[in-house]
Order: sequence, then C-alpha cells, then structure tokens
Amino acid sequence: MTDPTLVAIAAVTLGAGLTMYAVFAGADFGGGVWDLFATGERKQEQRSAIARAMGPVWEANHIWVIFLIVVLFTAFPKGFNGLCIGLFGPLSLVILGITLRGASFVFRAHSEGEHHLQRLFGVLFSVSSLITPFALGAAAGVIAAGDLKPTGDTWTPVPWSAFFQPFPIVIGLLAVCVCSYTAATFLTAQTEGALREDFRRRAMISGGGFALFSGLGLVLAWQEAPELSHELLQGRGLPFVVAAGVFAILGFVVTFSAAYRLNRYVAIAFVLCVVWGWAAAQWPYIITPYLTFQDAASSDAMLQVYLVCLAAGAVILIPSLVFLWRTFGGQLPESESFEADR
Amino acid sequence: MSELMAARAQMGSSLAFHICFSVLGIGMPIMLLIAEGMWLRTGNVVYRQLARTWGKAFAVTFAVGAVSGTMLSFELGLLWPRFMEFAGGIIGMPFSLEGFAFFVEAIFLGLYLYGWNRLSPRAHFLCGVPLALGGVLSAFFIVSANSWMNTPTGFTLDKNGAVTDVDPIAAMFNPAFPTEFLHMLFAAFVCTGFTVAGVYAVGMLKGRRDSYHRTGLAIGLIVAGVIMPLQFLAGDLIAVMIVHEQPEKLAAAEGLFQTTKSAPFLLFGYPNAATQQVEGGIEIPYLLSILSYNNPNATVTGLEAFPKENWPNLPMVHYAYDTMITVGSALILPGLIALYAWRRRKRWLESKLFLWMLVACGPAAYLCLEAGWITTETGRQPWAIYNVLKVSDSVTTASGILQWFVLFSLVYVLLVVFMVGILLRQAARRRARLALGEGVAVPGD
Ligand code: HDD
Ligand code: HEM
Ligand code: HEM
Repeated sequence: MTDPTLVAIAAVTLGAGLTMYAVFAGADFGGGVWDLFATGERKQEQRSAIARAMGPVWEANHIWVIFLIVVLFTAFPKGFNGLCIGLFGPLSLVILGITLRGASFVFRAHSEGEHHLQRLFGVLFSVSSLITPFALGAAAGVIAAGDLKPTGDTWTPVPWSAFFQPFPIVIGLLAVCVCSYTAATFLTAQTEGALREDFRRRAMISGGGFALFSGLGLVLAWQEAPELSHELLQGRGLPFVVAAGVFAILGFVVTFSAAYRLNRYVAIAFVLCVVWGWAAAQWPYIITPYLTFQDAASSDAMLQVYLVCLAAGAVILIPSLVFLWRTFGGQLPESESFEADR
Repeated sequence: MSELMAARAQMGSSLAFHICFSVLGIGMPIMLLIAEGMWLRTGNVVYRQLARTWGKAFAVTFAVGAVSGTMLSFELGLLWPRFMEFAGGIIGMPFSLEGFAFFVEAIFLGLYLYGWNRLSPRAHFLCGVPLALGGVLSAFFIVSANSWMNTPTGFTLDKNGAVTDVDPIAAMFNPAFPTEFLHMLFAAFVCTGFTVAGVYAVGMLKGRRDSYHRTGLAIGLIVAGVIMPLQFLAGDLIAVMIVHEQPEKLAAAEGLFQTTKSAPFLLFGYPNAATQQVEGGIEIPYLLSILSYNNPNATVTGLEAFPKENWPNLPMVHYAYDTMITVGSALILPGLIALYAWRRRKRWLESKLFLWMLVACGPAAYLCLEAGWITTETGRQPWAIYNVLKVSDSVTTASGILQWFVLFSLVYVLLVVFMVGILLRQAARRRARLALGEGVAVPGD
C-alpha cells in the first residue's frame, strides 16, 4: 500500500492546483461571462477592460488545468481512469469550451477593424466562458451525488440525464457565480470611475447569486449528496463553510464601502474557502463513495519523485508568476490587443 | 466505424493538428531571439520590425497550439483511460515536468508580447530566453513520454500482470529517447525556418524585394539550412536505434518480409502482406544493411520473424517512411545551394526559381514532420505500449466517440481557416501602415 502521508500530500497539491485554477482561470471565465452580459452605455468599455486585463495573463492561468490533469494521472491514475470514463460527455464539452474560449479570445484581439468577425469571436468567447465552468461545476455535483458508479473492473459512463438534475445544475450555476464574482472584484481594482461602478454592481449581483445558489445547493445536497452535506454542515467542511460565509459578508461590506485594494484579497480568500470546504467534505474520496485517494494512488516511488519534481518546479514557477503579475497587475495595458497596434 | 477506430482517428488527427503549431512553439522563440538580438547589437530597425511582426503572428499560432494541446491532454484520458491508468504511474513524471515547461512558456510569452513598452529592451530580450527554453523543454518531456511508448522501461510486470518496481527516472530516459528528442527538436527548427523563409519568398516573388523581406528570408533559411544536415544524421541515428529496439517497425517501414543478408533499401513499391511480396519499387543494393549496421554484409531481420497479427499497416508505414526519406533528403538542397551561391557571390538567391523552391520547402518540411510521426505511431501498432499493452485494450468503454470526432474535426478546420485569415490580414495591415508612412521609424511600430 502506498504511504498514506504521501497520498495526503499529493492530494493537497491537487487541491492547491484546483484553487489556483478556480481563482485565476475562474476570473478569466468570469470575464467572459461579463463580456456576455455587458450592458449599458459603457458596453464597449467594459468589454475592452476585460480583454485588456486577460490579455497578458490568460495563457498562464489556463495552464492550471493542465497541471490538474497531470497531477491526477501521475499521482492518482485509477481516479483519472474513472473520471475520464464516467464523465466522457461533459469533459468533451469542457474541452470544446476551453478550445473555443481561448482561440476566439485571441482571434478577436487580432482582428481589429473587422467588426463582423470580432462580433462572432466575441460571442464564441463569452458563451464558451459561461458553459465551461458550468459543465465543470455540474460534473463536481454528479460526483458528489455518487452518480459515477463502477461496474466490474471499469466504470459506467454517467448518462446525460444525471446532469440535468437540480443538484448538478445548481452546482454548475454556483461555479459560474464564483467565477463572475472574482472577475468583477478583480476588475474593480483595475478600473476607475464609472466603469469601476459597473463592475462594483456586478460584484454585488454575482455575490448575491452565489448566496442564493449555495443556499439552494445545501438544501438539495441534504437529499442528493448526503455525505457531502453532512461533512459540510457538521464535519470537516464546517470551518471552511463558516469562513466562506464570513468572507462573503466581508466581501459585501468591502465592495459596498469601495475599498478596492482589499477587495481582491477578500475574494481570493472566499474562493479558497469554497474550494477547500468542498475538498474537505469530499475527502477521503476522489469518486464518492466508491474510490478513495488512497486506493487511487500510484506507487511510493512515483509519488516521491513526483513531489520532488513539484518542489523543483515551484522554485521556477513562483518567481515567474510574481514577475508576470507585478508587470501587469496594476494598470491595464493600453490597447486591447497590442500596445503598438494603435 | 467502431469506437476503437473512431478513437484512433480522433487521437491521430488531434496530434497531427497540434504538432503543426507546437513546432512553431519551439522554433519561433529562437527566431525572435535572433531578430531581437540582432536589433540590440546592430540597432538596425529592420530586425526590430521583424521581431514585432513575428511576435504578433506567434501570439495567434501559440493560442491555437495551446488549445489543441489542452484538448490532447484531456483526450489521452478520455480516449485511452486504461492506457493512462497503466502509464500514469510510470511515465507521469515527464508529463508533470512538461506542465512546468508550459507555465514558463506561457508566462514569458505574456511578458514578451505585452511587455515591449513596459520592460527595458534588455529585459525584454531576456524574456525570450525562458520562452525558448520552455518550448524546447516541452518537446523534451513530451517526446520522452512518446519514446517510452516505443521502448518501455523503468518497471517490471509481476505474474499477475501488475506493475512493480517503478523507476520513473529510468522510464523517462528510455533507450529511444535521446535520438527521438534530437530528431524532433531539429524537425521543429527545420519546419519553422523553412516556413519563415517561404513566407518572405512569397513577398519577394510579389516584388517586395526590400531589406525587410531579404532579412526575414535570410534568418529563416540560415536556421533551416544549418539544421538540415544535422537532421539527416539524427534520422540515421534513429534508424540504427530502431533496428535494435523495434526491429519489426523497421522491417515494416522498409517493406522487408524475409530476413536478408546485405539487405537493399526499398523505395516505393507495394508491400503486400497477403503474399509477403513487394510489388514494384526501386531497390538500392546494400543500403539498408549499411544504414542499419554500418556494414554492407549485415543481416537485417524481416517481418517473417514476427507473428503476423503484430504487423502494423504495412503500406501506410512504408509510404510514410518513404515520404520522409525522399522529401527529407531533398530539403538539404536549399541550404547547400545558398551556401555555394553565397561563397561564390552568385546572384541565384534572388532568382525566381530559388524563391519558388523556398516557397515549396515550408509545406515540404511539414510533410516530412507528419510522415515521420505516422511512421512512428502507426508503426507501433497494434501496441500502444510496445510489447506491453495493445491499443485495443487501452480504449475507453464510453461510447459516442464518433460524434465528438466529427465535431472536433470541424472545429479544427474552422480554427485553421480563421487563423490563416487573421495572419493574412495582419500582414496586410502592416503593409497599409507602411504605405501611410507610419511604422518605419516610429518607436512603437
Ligand atoms: C522536418 C522533418 C523531418 C525530416 C526532414 C526528417 N525527419 Fe525523420 N522524423 C521526423 C521528422 C523529419 C519526425 C519529427 O516526424 C519523427 C517522428 C518521431 C520522431 O522522433 O521524429 C521522425 C521519425 C523518424 C524515424 C523513426 C520512426 C520511428 O520512431 O518509428 C526515422 C528512422 C527517421 N525519422 C529517419 C529519417 C531520415 C533518415 C531522414 C533523412 C532524410 C529524416 N528522418 C528526415
Ligand atoms: C511530439 C509531439 C509534441 C510536441 C513536440 C509538443 C510541443 C509543444 C509545444 C512546444 C507547445 C508550446 C505551445 C505552443 O506552441 O502552442 C505545446 C503546447 C501544448 N501541448 Fe504539446 N507537443 C506535442 C504533443 C503533445 C501531446 C501528446 C500532448 C498531450 C498530452 C500535448 C499537450 C500540450 C498542451 C496541453 C499544450 C498547451 C500548453 C500551453 O497552453 O502553453 N502536446 N506542445
Ligand atoms: C505530434 C505528433 C504525433 C502524431 C502526428 C501522432 C500520430 C498518431 C496517430 C496517427 C495515432 C493513431 C495510430 C493508429 O491508430 O494507427 C496515434 C496514436 C497515439 N499516440 Fe501519437 N502522434 C504524435 C505524438 C504523440 C505523443 C508525443 C504521444 C505521447 C505522449 C502520443 C501518444 C499516442 C497515444 C497514447 C495513441 C493511442 C494509442 C495508439 O494508437 O498507440 N503521440 N498518434
């Protein structure tokens, strides 16, 4: 049997990757959602601010999903097998969404002056930014509900009908709200004046949406995902749920009182609590309640080497990321595509 | 179409698509470094213009490479979950490290593309270095995973077929790895170099014979021309490696049915698996023995030594291999011609004939790239992991692959159409700006 400590550490790295993906790529997806719902007289300014904020960083943010995949199949190959067979349909939808989102975002930035094309790419970009987090959230809901089941030595693909149930749908919408909330708060820190007010209002709306769907989700989980609901309300997940609630209220206060610098960090802390609360409630299962992380893990030798690689990689990754954020974190780049394309 | 066939078709087409963009991901950073480095050294704005233009084009191709690569990461699991379950615990390490290489490349690409006015010229140039390293390392790690499929090492199978004694380092540095990586890396430079040279050759054929076009063409041609002879040698090293590691693959590529002393090298012809005869074709005496063992009298093992159910699709492997060898050999010529003409101060390099030749070289290099990969991948059939796991045992038990295959193929076609359109418009906009007199000496062109 694989050393349980190694398994736990590897699972924590998976959670850390998931957090990074949820916060940063989540904010990019949320940007796409606000692109879709851009309204009012500052419609174009809103879209342009979103595009300028995403431009330099979205590729790096996007890599977290690849990180998640490689951690899954390196450290937990049996879990990866089960997820891929069971979630074949929704994950195919996710890659379609990721592909369309990334390509159309870049295509739009590079087809200045071609208004029809830009509109087409804009629609593709924003719609796929909405569908992708929704599909991921719904998939998480299906797993928590125990709908991904083994048969013999393999797994049964989850039928589409299982995704169109209230619980997965609510979790999908919850994921969309988390993304739009972080996007809007990040943007309040990067814009000014009336535009900032637009995003402030959007942060409040998506925060409200989150409160609504998390309440609904908890009620539904009582029936649909009893293990999850139990752990969230009475077990390991509780501290995170409480903390998430505190940060959510704090977030409202901060957004309302327009303390934009602080805003970002509150939003990050909030997403962190949501992800870790879910993870803690689902532990020890990678696929509830059929496969534990322990049973899905690869050998000691592999995990050791993998963790060493991870530490070495982090030494390169962290300073590079900090450099990127410092260079582009404050003021937005001037033009939507390239500074010099004016 | 069976689910297995649909899965193979989807995997093959996704990979064949992705590789076109990933070679640019490896090659373009080097071109950018050369152009920007020359600008910093000489102060000649033409170099800077080239670097800016290439950067913009690269931003577009990189995005297509990144999304298609992401699709592949998912597809490995979605289509071949049992393969990944088996392989993940053995060869997962290079994949994990590759993730870091992607991070480095994506982070520094953001800095490179958007940082022209935010970083000092020196710092900006230096961002190109991790960008280039990220590309080369991506290839390093992914080829390691692929070469392990050809020559799996770093584990043992116990009586029940379970994996034990995993040694991830040994798996990563498997026997096929060094040669495969070298050959792949060179292929990336050759494809990028010839593509760039070809683009400017088109411009020159249209009468744009300014220093911008000449310099762009020269950089591309020099990179491809210098690497190409090395690529030839690397190809020979692979052939020698395969003779030892995967003899039936070489036999299939050569259409060699009978084990033969002083084996000839077969070009073209139809290898008929039913009659075990080659119909037609040109035989070059002794050449196969020389290439494989550096000895004209050596004996080369034929397909007859292997069970027939383990033969790959012979015509496909053979024709793919032939294509790579013939077209690949021809690709050495432009570099040699250019070298000769330059030494002798001939004016051929501006001749229509030579420019047309360069235009053809870009697609030809890509043809070699695809042909080489088809040789490797189809030649490994029916194995996903050579002599360990069959493709038919790796495929998913989920159904409905065909619909997704059709949908994704459509998406690929659209991506290419839009991408090419956007690149052409980029070039047209640049010319329009030039015509307006902007962009020549303006710092931010
Ligand atoms: C520009 C591209 C290019 C060019 C000019 C060549 N090749 Fe190549 N070849 C590739 C691109 C490539 C590749 C990148 O597609 C492959 C597939 C797997 C690999 O490592 O490199 C390959 C594989 C590959 C293999 C291995 C097949 C396998 O692993 O089953 C052999 C024996 C050769 N090549 C031999 C040659 C020779 C003798 C060449 C000289 C003319 C040559 N290649 C030119
Ligand atoms: C020999 C074949 C391959 C080579 C040489 C190669 C190389 C590269 C390179 C250089 C990039 C940089 C980005 C770009 O240019 O767009 C890239 C991107 C990518 N590749 Fe591949 N690749 C190969 C096959 C694969 C396979 C089989 C997978 C799936 C497991 C894969 C997954 C990815 C991913 C996920 C990205 C996106 C990274 C990003 O967003 O920057 N690649 N590849
Ligand atoms: C980018 C260049 C590549 C091309 C063009 C390519 C092409 C193909 C093709 C045509 C097939 C289907 C073979 C058949 O069924 O006849 C295939 C299968 C496959 N390839 Fe590759 N391949 C490439 C690189 C890679 C790399 C780098 C990896 C691994 C990391 C890889 C992993 C696989 C796997 C797992 C399969 C499915 C199992 C199998 O058919 O053996 N390929 N590839």
